[in-house]
Amino acid sequence: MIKKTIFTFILFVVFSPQISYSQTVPKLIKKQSALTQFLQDEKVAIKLDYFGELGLHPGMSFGIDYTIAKKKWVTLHWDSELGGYWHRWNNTSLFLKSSIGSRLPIKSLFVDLNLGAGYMHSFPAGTVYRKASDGGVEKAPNWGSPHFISTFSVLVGYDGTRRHNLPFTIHLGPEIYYQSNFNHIFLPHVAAKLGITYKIKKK
Amino acid sequence: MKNYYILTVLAITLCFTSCSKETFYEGDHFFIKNAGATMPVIIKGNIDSKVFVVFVHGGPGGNASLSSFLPVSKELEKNYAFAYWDQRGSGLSQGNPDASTFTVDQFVEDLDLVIDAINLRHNYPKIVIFGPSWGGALGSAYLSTPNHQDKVTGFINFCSGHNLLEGVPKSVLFVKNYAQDQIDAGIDISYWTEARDFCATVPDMTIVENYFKYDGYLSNTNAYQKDPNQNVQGPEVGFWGSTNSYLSLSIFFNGKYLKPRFNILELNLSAQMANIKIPTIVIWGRHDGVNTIEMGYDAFNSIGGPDFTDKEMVILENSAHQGYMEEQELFISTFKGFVNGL
Repeated sequence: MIKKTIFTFILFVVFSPQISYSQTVPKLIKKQSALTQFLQDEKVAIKLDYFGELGLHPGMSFGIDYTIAKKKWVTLHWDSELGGYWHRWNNTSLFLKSSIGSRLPIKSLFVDLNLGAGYMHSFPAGTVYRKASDGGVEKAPNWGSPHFISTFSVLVGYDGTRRHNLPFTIHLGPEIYYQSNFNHIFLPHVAAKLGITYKIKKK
Repeated sequence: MKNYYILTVLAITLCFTSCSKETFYEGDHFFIKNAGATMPVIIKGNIDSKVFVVFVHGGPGGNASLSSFLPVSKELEKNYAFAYWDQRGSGLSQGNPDASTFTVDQFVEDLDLVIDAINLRHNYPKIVIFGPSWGGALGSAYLSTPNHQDKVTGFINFCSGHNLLEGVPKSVLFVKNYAQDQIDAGIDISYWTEARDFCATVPDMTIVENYFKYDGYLSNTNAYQKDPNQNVQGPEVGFWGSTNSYLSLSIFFNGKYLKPRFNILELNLSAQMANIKIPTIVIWGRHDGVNTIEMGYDAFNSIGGPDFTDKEMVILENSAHQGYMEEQELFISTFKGFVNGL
């Protein structure tokens, strides 16, 4: 029960802007929760990504892809993601980010340009020591450090919704993100993304 | 459905193959946290030897982590454990330390924490400090501080910048002479005339702007490598090292904030190096244009004072500032000879 509550809370925090945005959609079924209604909105797709910092430091992200507008030549979408990755012997990071993207279709394929921002919490990936009050050394708590991140990604993929009325898209490409404040600089990172979006509600 | 299956298999495969190149992760690692910085210490090599070489990197603003990919390091790791420590604001270090912490005393305190943590984790092994360039200066500053020598068995001072107040003007003269040689040879005359004339004004090298201008010229001389055409063995990182080791892009970007804010141009440790009374070897490249050979003699003469005898000096006759790569075999045998004799 506690886990379910926490899970629902996280979903709410991450996706509440988009849920609010979609409140203009008529209520489908009165007894359904706002979240269920939101997920069944045909503008909404859930997304799941492999997120590999420098390609192979493994991570995952999941979130929502919300279609703001869809024209023949472009789809504007608003994504929010919660995820993290593990760079062994370096850092473990969790992030919460949101981005606006324009998906440019080429037949059933697309190029997707995304710009976003978010919060990252980064932990040194290992035991941390500090000076003890007696002059010796002791283990220090590893609370990590907070960072602002800005993101940019160029993804290519397949859009099943365009021509084949399939409920998913597949995408692949690099995401560049800048981590601040890191030694007083915006530290650039690059990550490989490979993922899917899935619409629960078909047209 | 088939697409889902393929994607799932691909994702799982990536997850399981990532970070699986164990060769990058053999050894030990930890972090030290001090005054706003969280600094990695990566320990590789022969930990069972109970001899730990603390690699104190150059710069300031360089890194030790990339040096762990040097063939010369891998060779020495067969005999000893190497502790690669990235200093505050440098290499793979994390955090956001304030510029007010960029002092020699703070770096000395950080190094002491590194050594204390190694002692705690590895039950007081024999510790040797290997300090090239700025690392040699930092090692000298550390060992000149009371009580620190008790924790260290030996010191390898390699082309140290322990006295930049006297050393940099000598390097400026090196640049001036090099520039004149280039002019005489008809090579890029306008650039080298500018360099020669700048150096001829004997600029005040304690001023950071002057230093960076000279440093720009210096990097185009053979101050670092006697024969620029020599094929030396640099860090061998490769695809897997780039994508799947502890390295990150921070080794290219860290240090940008530190370098202009950590002014060591008035550093002069020569007098206090008389306090160093542990076995020491001074290794220097005969043709070093960064810290010239005169400063090598200064380091040797300063360590322990005139009556101290437990020290030796080895000059690499065909090297400049990177003798560990330029004369790799001689460097390795010299290194082993010293450490094995401790």
